[in-house]
Amino acid sequence: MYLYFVLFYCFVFNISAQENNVNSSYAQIFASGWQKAITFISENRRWMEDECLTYGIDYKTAVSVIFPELVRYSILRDKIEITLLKALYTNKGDEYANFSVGVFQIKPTCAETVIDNVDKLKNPAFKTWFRKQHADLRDYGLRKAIVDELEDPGNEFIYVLAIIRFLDKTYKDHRWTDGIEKIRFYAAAYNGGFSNTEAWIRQQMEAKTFHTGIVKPKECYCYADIAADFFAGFSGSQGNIQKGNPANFKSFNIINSYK
Amino acid sequence: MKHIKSFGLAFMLVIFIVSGANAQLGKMLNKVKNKIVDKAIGNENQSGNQASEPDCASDDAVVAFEFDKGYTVDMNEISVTIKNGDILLYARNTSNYFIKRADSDSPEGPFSENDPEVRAFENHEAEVNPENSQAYAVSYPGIIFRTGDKYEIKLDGQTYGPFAVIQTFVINLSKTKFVAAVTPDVLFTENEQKQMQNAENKTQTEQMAMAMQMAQKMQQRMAGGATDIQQKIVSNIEGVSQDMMYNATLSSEIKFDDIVWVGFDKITDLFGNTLLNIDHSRMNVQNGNFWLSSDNKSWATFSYGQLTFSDGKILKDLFAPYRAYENGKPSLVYMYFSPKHNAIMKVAIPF
Repeated sequence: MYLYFVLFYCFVFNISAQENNVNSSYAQIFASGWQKAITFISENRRWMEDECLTYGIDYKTAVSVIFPELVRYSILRDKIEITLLKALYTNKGDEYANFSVGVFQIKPTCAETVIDNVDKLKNPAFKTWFRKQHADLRDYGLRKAIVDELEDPGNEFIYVLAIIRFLDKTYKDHRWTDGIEKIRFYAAAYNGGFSNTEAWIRQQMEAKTFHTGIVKPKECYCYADIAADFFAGFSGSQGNIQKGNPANFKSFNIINSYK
Repeated sequence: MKHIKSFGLAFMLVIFIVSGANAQLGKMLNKVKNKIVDKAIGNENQSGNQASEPDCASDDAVVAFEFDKGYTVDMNEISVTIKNGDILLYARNTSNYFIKRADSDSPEGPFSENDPEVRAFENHEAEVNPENSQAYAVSYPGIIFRTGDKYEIKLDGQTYGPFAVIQTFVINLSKTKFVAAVTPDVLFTENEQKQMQNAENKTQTEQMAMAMQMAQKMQQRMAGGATDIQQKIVSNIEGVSQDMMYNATLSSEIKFDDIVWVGFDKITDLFGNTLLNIDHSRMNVQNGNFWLSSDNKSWATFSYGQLTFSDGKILKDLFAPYRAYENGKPSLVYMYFSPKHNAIMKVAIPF
């Protein structure tokens, strides 16, 4: 009897200890999804860092802002089915389908807004890149090109950088309390619509709408908080494995094979 | 003559733009210029204004759903609500749902979002990853029943159980065969496990009292001798291999209207006979989109809009593949969007 009692008591306290750890940070909440996103950044760091240098964007800001999307994509990637959504968007436009595409989960309408605002970025590198990509394209051709670009991590990352450049320009005179506030603001803008008003983006900084399910669960999380959590713990020492070329992109496919 | 005029106008516009007109005006004129130049050189479709039928289009395709007829297909950010050929439709003007069944021409409805017909499109996650036996009871009403702290499986007038835990439950499409991995008894029931999990909110004295009570129950159950805590396979099919339980998982999705064991290197029937050796470099049998033909001679797999067959044939730009009887034959059915018909088309391949 005493033995059973001891065993059971240990069991109860073991459960309590596990329960306490589960909610201690986003890394534990998203578990393998978080780890896969970290691995993705490690394996793709060099070319992303090179692109940041080319376009004058802070690398740490860029990866922090996209990090929650990487977590979401790594968890959902095998469940995502966007073939019809792509066909509807390219053939019939965004009133029929608007959906997140690629590893950085950018929506086609967001990409259209980036293209419309390229002149405001006041950066020849962006202007040249977008002009080269979309010369003489419109309607179906432009929409098809956008989806193709968003599905290619190297091209999609240029959209990420353009969004951050837009925020850098728009809020260049803003005095941030600290780096965390800036990341939370940028992450909210990236997730909720970078061209929205400052007041709206600030609302999004507190919004708990982020989840990694097919169906919206009861508990959702704040995108800005997750990005800030990653930013705060970013060591900058993630491996320099790849040469600086998006062609060396390491996908989640490869990461999955390590399981 | 007409072409010469167009070129002339285009030339003037280019000069105007280059000579430093403001950016907005320049952007607008540039678009006009492009259109004129494209038209003049007979290159109007270069910008891709005309969509073509996808690679997977077929002359045998039938219209599954036509757009712009008052409904939109219900879809969220990552998927379109299509399940085994049934399409969930949404009427924007009334905010009601309708269901276009695969075997019917006109949509059923209206339904509200909480109606079971609509919710049935959402239970995919529960089916794939049930957290406990209760999830199976919810997913299979009329087949799995809760009786007190245990569960029973009822099929074709036969009752199996009761079981303390149903670890896995798989049933074929026509609901004539089932196989389950079950544990008849446990030392602590699900309710008792919940009580233990909630123990952290109690005082230390209360925790001690609960520990004493649970330890007593455990001792009584062990001493009783009637406790069967061994996991086992239960089925309405005679001779299902018990040994496979340790090396393979059950699947009702791979072979049409049948259940198979999926091991690391082979797929077998329920009795352990090999149906297919798995080549991991070509086959992802675990993704829920891998099918073995009815004669076991060929396979097909679907990923990111692409259907790949064992003979090397590839079909692209399709979605929502599923197995069904079409024209009296077991078939692999898929869908694609046709710009020509402005519709979702359905194609059935005997498989």
